[in-house]
Amino acid sequence: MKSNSREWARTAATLLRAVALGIALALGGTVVTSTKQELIRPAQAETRALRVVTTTEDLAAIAREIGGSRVTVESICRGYQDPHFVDAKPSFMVTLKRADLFVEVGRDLEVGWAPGLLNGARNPRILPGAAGFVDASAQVEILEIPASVSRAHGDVHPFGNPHYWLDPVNGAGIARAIRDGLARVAPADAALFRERCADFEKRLAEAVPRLEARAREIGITGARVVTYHRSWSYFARAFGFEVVNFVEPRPGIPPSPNHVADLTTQMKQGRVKLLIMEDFFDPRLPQKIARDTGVPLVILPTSVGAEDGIRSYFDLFDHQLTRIAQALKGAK
Amino acid sequence: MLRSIATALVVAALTAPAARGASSPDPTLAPPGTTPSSGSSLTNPAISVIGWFQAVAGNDSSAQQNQFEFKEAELSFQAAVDPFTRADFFLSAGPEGLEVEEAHITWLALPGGGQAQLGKFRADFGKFNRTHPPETPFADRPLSTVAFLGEEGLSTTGLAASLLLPNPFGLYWDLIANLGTVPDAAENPLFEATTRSDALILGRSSLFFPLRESVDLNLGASYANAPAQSALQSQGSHAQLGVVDATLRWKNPRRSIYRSLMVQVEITGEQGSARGAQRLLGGFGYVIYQAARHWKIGARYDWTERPDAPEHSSGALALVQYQPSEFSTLSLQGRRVHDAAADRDFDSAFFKWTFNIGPHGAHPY
Repeated sequence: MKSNSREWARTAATLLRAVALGIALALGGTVVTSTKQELIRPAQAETRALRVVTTTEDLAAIAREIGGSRVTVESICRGYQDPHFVDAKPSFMVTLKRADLFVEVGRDLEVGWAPGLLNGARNPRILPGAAGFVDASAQVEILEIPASVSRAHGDVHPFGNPHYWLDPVNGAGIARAIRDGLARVAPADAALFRERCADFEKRLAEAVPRLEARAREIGITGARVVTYHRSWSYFARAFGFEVVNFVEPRPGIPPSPNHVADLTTQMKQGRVKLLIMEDFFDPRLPQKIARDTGVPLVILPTSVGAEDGIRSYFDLFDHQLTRIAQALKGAK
Repeated sequence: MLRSIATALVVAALTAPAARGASSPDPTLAPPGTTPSSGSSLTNPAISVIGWFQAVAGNDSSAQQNQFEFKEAELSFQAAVDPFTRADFFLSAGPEGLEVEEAHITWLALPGGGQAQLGKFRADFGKFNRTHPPETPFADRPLSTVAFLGEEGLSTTGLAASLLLPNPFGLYWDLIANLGTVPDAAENPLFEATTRSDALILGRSSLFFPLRESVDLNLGASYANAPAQSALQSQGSHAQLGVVDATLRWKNPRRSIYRSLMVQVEITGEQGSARGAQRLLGGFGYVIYQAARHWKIGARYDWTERPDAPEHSSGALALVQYQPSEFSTLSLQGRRVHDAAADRDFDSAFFKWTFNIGPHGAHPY
């Protein structure tokens, strides 16, 4: 009988501890909600700038175009970083906790880090499926969706090539996805976002033929090109050159000596005009291949913010084409 | 007028992007606009398997039972349950059979900025304990974690809740509380439940300092309290554990896949609940340096007192790790453990190979 009483007393004590824990958490929650980090209610969202957090600088640049002074925009990945490999630092969770809108490239580009950050941010407004979550690929035509997915092909993206922002035409689709997301979280400003998006699309439509003409002028259009990674498929489509091979044929897998030898032979014999590499890879192997073959190497930024002077989505393409022009001119 | 027509033509071209470009069709790719076809439903959970094979040599018979062992196959099933919760299951199959390593549902965003987990999980006790054994860089576990938490680390079944604490510096500062079952006495050296109502109470707080873009520091402190095993009752009815941990990371974001450095230190203390009870200490520290895209080297030092022995143990481990891809890791490791009671060194060499199949998981941080 006594042992039963003790058992009940212990059970009661455990329950009391659980209740105390719950109360402590609830009180803690009250403290949190009493700060400026509290959940944003629609009325508040209308009176202050919307906080937009993007995964990349390119999305951030376009979000600034669409949101104007109604938004503050922050990118998690810097323009000079490889967006596949960003550390999911807890400090980014604090940034995301305050966000009204989250914009990602999608297509599994950020699969190694963005889901963990979203899960840890404790912000229901930006979780997948919520009004504040934007997959910027939703209105873009995606290339290279694999018919079958196997790691035997390397670290492939099962939902297609995610480097779509490197075709300026796709800037319009990205802008529309961001416009729709902003309109969902701040419906009172939807007309403003539509207007700014239309203006951005108009400027883009004017820029595209200019960029295409520049590509033809510098001699990249129609050229045969080797690239380091599969980042440049959209860029190739935009400016009409053919990617005939890769330094790293299987993403994430170092090239074998045999592949490098075959590639070198192909580049010597195959009228390859240019070797393109992203700015976050180690240039030593591409530099050696360029020396061995005489094919000029150009190291290109892949994102806004990668270098000083690349501040807008338009700057990115101007800068890339200028670099290509310099490389091709230097090779003559 | 001409400008308007030109703009209209360009807009029309933009809406028909398939007409542009010079890329040749690749037979391994599905037609543009389609989604990958597979037999499984897209709503199935993400399923992955981590395999862990290990070979050992040396004069330390406690290092591993057999010369070659398939130590573990860890199966994970992870998915959102609904817009508010996600579920994670980790099953561990090894020589001792199949067991549930973790199985929990997580409420991702509770009112007040909280999160909660219900189920079985590895306890938030120190930094190292949360990492599943195949995923640590080591062939073994540090001596102090084995001495105070057991061979497999500390797990519990119950409730965990966490909050991000506001602070004027905008830093990540979390507070985690666990209330769960006392781990089985056969699986840990300190705790033992005598009645169903006995509970493990655990708390942790950690603070993250982004010192520079390429350097950050994570500091943590944890505390656990549960009824002590009968052999330890002379030190009090309850055993108390505390750990402080510090993790320093460096990585150049412009070359993130080529160079990195991680330094981690954990110091653990144990004391019974009786006044004047004996205090035991232990700890470990390690350094992992990524020297090239696929190569890492590392070293660890251990020192610990033990609740089940009067003498302390110490040891050191060195490793070289090669990652042919993101999904496979091979490492050679050498370890020396000094047993103070026997005044003798025990040496082991390990070959550890882990590999995983399935969807690309999150990179741990």
